[in-house]
Amino acid sequence: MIFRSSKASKPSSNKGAESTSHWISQRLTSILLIPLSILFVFNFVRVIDKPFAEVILTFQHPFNNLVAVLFLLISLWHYRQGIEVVTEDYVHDLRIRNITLRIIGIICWFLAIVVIYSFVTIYIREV
Amino acid sequence: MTRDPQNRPLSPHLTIYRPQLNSVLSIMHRITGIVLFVGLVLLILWFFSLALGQAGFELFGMLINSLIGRLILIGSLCALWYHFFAGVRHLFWDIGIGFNLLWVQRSSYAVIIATISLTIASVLIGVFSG
Repeated sequence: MIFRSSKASKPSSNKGAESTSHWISQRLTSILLIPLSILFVFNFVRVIDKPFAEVILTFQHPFNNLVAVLFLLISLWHYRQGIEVVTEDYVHDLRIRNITLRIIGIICWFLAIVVIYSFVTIYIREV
Repeated sequence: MTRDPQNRPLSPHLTIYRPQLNSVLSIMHRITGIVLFVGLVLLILWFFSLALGQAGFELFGMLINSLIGRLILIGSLCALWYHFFAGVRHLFWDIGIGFNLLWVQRSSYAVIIATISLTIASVLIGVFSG
């Protein structure tokens, strides 16, 4: 059984600087998500069971729309940052790790595009 | 065990590690972070169904209104508030506040109480405005 973490053998010339900027940007998304989570969740639980037209009107309000878009996009970014750390901790095979990280990146970008498409469509929709 | 310097055991040694409140809360932060992906994807799909139009939204609403949908929703709210408060505590630790055994113990209880309170509050707001 291989116990040793392969983190030390990461083939990167400036892995120190890379890790530092990853750490800082993870804190940045965390801090941004503090107000966004509170604003979004209490807005969301109020409208979840409302009829279609009312939900559309709620998210056509520029503030609600902006809060929801930012919450979802920054959550996706924060999720990717977190899962990168988790993958680096548990997936020791470098090849499998890189494939995993690439798949996660593609999924997050795809979901981000779905978010942007949805909110543009909701915003310009006539009720 | 061989004395191979390239293959040293990694800490923590989970097979002999005694679980404590702080270690359980620590791994809970990671687990809630990972499983919140389910809630995040469902949330994005909910907005996507809203963009599709009334028929799509009402179809997806049936899923949200089902027992499983409600359980996932409440579970996600609970996981979100836990990850939120445990995360805020991490940010305080990052700037050197509360990073000693006494305050770590105290803030552990604060995180649990805040999570339960905010989960109940957000579910109640949902119930009374629905």
